[in-house]
Amino acid sequence: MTMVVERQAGPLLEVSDLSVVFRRRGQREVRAVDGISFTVDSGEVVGLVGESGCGKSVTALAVTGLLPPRGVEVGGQARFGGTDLLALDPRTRRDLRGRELAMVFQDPISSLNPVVPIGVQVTEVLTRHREMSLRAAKVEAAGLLDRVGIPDPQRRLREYPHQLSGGMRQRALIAMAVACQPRLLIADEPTTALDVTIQAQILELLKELVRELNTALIMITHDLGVVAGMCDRINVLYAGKVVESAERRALFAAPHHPYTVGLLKSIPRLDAARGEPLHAIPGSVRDVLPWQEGCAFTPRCPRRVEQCLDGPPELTPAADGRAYRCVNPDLTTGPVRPAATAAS
Amino acid sequence: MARFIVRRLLQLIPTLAALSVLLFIWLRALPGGPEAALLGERATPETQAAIRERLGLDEPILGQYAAYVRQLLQLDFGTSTQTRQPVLEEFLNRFPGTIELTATAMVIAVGVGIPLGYFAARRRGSLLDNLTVGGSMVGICTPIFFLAFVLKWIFGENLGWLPTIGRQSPGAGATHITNLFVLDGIITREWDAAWDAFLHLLLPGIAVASIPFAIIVRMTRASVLEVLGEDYVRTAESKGLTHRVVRGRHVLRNALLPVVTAIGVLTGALLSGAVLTETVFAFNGIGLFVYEAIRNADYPVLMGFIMFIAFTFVMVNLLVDISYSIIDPRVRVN
Repeated sequence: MTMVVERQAGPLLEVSDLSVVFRRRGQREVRAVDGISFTVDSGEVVGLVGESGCGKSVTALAVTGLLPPRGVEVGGQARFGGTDLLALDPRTRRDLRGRELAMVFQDPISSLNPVVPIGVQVTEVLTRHREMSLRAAKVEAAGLLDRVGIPDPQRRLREYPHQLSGGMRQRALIAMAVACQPRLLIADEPTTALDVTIQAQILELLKELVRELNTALIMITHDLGVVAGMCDRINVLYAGKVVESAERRALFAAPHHPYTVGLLKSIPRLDAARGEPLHAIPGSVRDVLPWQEGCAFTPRCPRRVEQCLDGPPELTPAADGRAYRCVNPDLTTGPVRPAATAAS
Repeated sequence: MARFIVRRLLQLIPTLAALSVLLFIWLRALPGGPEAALLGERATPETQAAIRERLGLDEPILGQYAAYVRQLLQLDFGTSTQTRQPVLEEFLNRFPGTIELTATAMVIAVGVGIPLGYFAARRRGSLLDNLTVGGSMVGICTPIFFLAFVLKWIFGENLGWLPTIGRQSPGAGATHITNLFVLDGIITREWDAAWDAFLHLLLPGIAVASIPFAIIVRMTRASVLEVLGEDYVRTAESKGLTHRVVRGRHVLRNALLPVVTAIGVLTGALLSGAVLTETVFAFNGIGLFVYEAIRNADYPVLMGFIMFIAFTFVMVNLLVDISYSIIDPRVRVN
């Protein structure tokens, strides 16, 4: 029960060669995650970016052990403070979840139990992991709601999810996630279901909490605008593999992988001339090539060459600590968009 | 909550009023009029005229309706043409038997059906699940009277484990207070009598329970499967909560919402099932009485029965609504 993850030198979370294969009877097997590796240091904010279906959410669920128990095969390692999370028995992992690593999900209304008061949903984490009495947990819960910016917390604790606004629901979910001051927080598209104005507030709140609690954060999103504002390091995912990994500034200043270039270009710009068509990456995420046959992005890639089909490209390290998986990288491009705008 | 209940009780009034109009029209629309219906084959012009006089059938129609409603409000449902006893008295004597029977059936259907549906869903695709789904299909398809005969034949006549006739063994000599025999036995501490009455309830109870049981099992299973895939269950898991809390608070509580609604609707199936089953087991409840009333065209009994059933139905649905609003805060009226 009281399994303590050691605090030691080296990264807080080290995911290496993680793979997730879904096998359902009578269906083709799906390789959702295909050998993903990345690290997260204590207090660091790391982005996992990619289109829907690139494996970013599945990665998070695999690390936390929330994938369905049957029909799924998880391979590789996810060392959290030295312990391989994937090798832990479900019971120990359950003890860690909510205490050492916590998650915030995409859709706040469906992620909250509609028939249980907010207060119970917050206090249940506290009584489970911090051995608090119900009375102490209630006091703490009110403090948590207050901390995440929910006004009149005493009243809100008694209310049900449908009585809260979308932004407040997400704040409540964040309160539950940080209740035990976890060392790693995973936010899976935490702002996608929210209004733009609320999005900025929620991101700001996450940034503050991460700094205050010295929690590491994995930010999962399809929106480069979100990672631009807060991530230290960004991993771009495509078809279950990391195709480019770089410090934020380096990535925005000079993306090397054609897919990253495409993603950056497809952010609509306010300073573009009127009537200029929006940029999109041709094709869809379904037009992938199996990695064994070559680069999965080949069918959609504007820079494809014959070597692309010579088998899976290796992850090539570059001088500034970045790495990319491409045989014909875009080494010449300057910033796709001004770094100042991107990082604002 | 109190206001919610009061409002729902007030909604009873128009429902019952509409029903009284329908019943009033029905009686007057019978071939030959109510007097012929009441007298049956013994009708002579003289007796018919006497009845018309006694029932005030020559009065203006609105006046007749007012008189009818006045009688209803005094709980006067007329006199049974079979037994020559007031309908209300007959009901009060016989209804407790039916209550015992439907309560037994409900306890079986809910008490076994919900856990079975839940475990079938948790072990989806297992032998237990397949047996449950297959078995409940058979349960839904089997006519109650047929099942009643089969049960009676196997457990009563061949194995001799359970009694198959009546509500109590002859000569049990039990004291009756509420006419709910099991309860009476418990109140008077006549444990043998209570046990005897309970055994008499088992076979008819299982027969009446069969269809509601099968429906509850299937609904619970489908509902649990749906809830297991909900985002909030994943949230609960991500908080590292114990299995007990995840299953009880987050899965079961949500999964039971549609089942609770179904239980209200199934009360109808229970009551109609009771009518058939009571005749097979010679179980002296209201079903047996109404069966006789239908055969003998005992209209006062039938009209009273319809009124009675409608009232029970509305009350059960009120209970369902109240329990629903306790489980699901979204339907609560502010």
